[in-house]
Amino acid sequence: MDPLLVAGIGFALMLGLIALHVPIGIAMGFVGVTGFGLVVGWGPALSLLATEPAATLTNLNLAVIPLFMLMGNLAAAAGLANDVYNIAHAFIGHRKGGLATATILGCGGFGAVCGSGVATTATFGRVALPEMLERNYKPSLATGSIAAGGTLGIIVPPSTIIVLYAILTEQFVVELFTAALIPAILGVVLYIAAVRGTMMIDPDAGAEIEKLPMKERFAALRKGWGVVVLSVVVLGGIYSGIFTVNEAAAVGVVVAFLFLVARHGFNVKELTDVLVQASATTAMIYIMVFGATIFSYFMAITDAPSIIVNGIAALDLPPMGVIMALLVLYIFLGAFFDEVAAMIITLPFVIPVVQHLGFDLVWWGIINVIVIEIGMITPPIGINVMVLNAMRRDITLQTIYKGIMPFFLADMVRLAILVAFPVLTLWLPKVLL
Amino acid sequence: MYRQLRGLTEKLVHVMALVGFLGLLLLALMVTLDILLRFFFGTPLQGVNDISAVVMAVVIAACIPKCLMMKQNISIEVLGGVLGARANRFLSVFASLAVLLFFVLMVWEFVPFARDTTASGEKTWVLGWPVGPWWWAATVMMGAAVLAQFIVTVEDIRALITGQTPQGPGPAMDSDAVL
Repeated sequence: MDPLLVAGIGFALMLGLIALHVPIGIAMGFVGVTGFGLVVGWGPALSLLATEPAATLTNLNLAVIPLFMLMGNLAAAAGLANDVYNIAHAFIGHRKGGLATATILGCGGFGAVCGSGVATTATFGRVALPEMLERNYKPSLATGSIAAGGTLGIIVPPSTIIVLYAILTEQFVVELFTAALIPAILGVVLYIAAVRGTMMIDPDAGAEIEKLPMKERFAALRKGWGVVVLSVVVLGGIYSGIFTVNEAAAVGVVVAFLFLVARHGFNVKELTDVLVQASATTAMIYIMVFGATIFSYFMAITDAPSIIVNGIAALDLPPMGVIMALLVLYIFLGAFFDEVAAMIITLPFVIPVVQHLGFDLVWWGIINVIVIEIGMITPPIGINVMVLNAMRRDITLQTIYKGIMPFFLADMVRLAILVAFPVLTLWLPKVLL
Repeated sequence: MYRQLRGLTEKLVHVMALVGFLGLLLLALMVTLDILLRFFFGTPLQGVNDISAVVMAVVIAACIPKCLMMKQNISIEVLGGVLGARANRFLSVFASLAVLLFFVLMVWEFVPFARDTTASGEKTWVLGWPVGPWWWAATVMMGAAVLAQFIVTVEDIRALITGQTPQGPGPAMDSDAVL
């Protein structure tokens, strides 16, 4: 049978299984084993069910994910998110829309110790939302700033999804972390501009509040040293070359653990909850990676990725046109899949194409993460919006999506800038590494 | 009898996840100690990477049963939402059976893999620890994952028959939820 047809049937079957509620990792694994079995033989195909998971379980690069996951959960439990928000609140909260801006800055700061967008959203939903509503902020601006700010958790290093992309595409994690810095800062700046824009259009969206005395401002700054220490230890250690990424993640876990114990005492129940939650989410990622690696094996033997690359090369399309088409494809897929799933499913096909067109995979990784960020706040599967709606049932989805709009526009501007000027992403790794 | 089995399984997978991540915490402490010793005294701990490689496999394998029990799989459940409650329950049963079959096959393949690794006498590079026993431990954890998924599947079948919400496990998750 034509290998491209085999790959096409396999891909369609995988989509079918996913549509029938089969978890994505399992669907990819089943199709991978079946396809490999049909082409090569059932013995080698079934053995993939042990060899690939075993290779994944002993992959020390991947071990960064559970460590960062645990660090983020410990940091959130220790109240470090409150600290970073309180600092931003103390210095700029009194301005019109200042609490929303403080939320954006707080999310960006907390992102430096927590690699999860949803964890950041849920944490700031608890920390910032009640205060904004109490201070007569409109629910749309309050929730919009938190949902959008929460997406910064996956672009500000260390980020779990960047690690996942780096491993699946065999890129250098530190290079991706470095490349993410300017896009992350751009994201914060544009989100703050979105808050300002909202305030210009609707001056009643965020009320002015009293300015804190200088003494209280510096008290907040002093109290917030924990998050600074943790982010400096982890990111400073990585960028200065003192630690490897794995070592930085391990040290980050220990420092976050010490903060938790110092602040809350040795609370067994709290620690148990943190460990169990982090373990379940870690397993979720690993199951997906098991499936993705088995599926990639199947795709490799069909040779479909290189056939697709040759096909696209024969069309002689302008490279940027292909990139634009891929971005449209991801936005289209985002209506049916969540974007992380879309990225992982399409990596075996898309990466060879991007590479063949001469684009840098580090740049593409950052673009991919930004597309995922956009997906986290856009319907129908805007997970950050869902999280906030679940936390505050009295605020409707429509209200939150209305509040998202200025931030969505900011994201589109950022995506356009970064696609048009890859140098913004690639300059820093070139200079620093 | 079944209720007892379910209760025991829930406790077992909870303890396994807890012990697994406590192991990860200890691993992090060991790595930190290694860095401190290396930095201040120039005497790193021997074999940290050896320990990380073998322990990590068991740590992650220990977390999988809890993930399955909590139904924290990454899945897209749009179709069930569109087709209605009964179709949704039917699709849940189908998905649970698929997960169960996948893990049964995985354990089926992990047994000879662990046996072959043990027979080969493979050892870690620096400490010379035998690798085989760690893979047997990981295989046992995968076996617990099969048990956990069996319970989830029975609950889903029961929900399909009775029309009630399955007990115990939480809702399936979107992959962004992790990231």
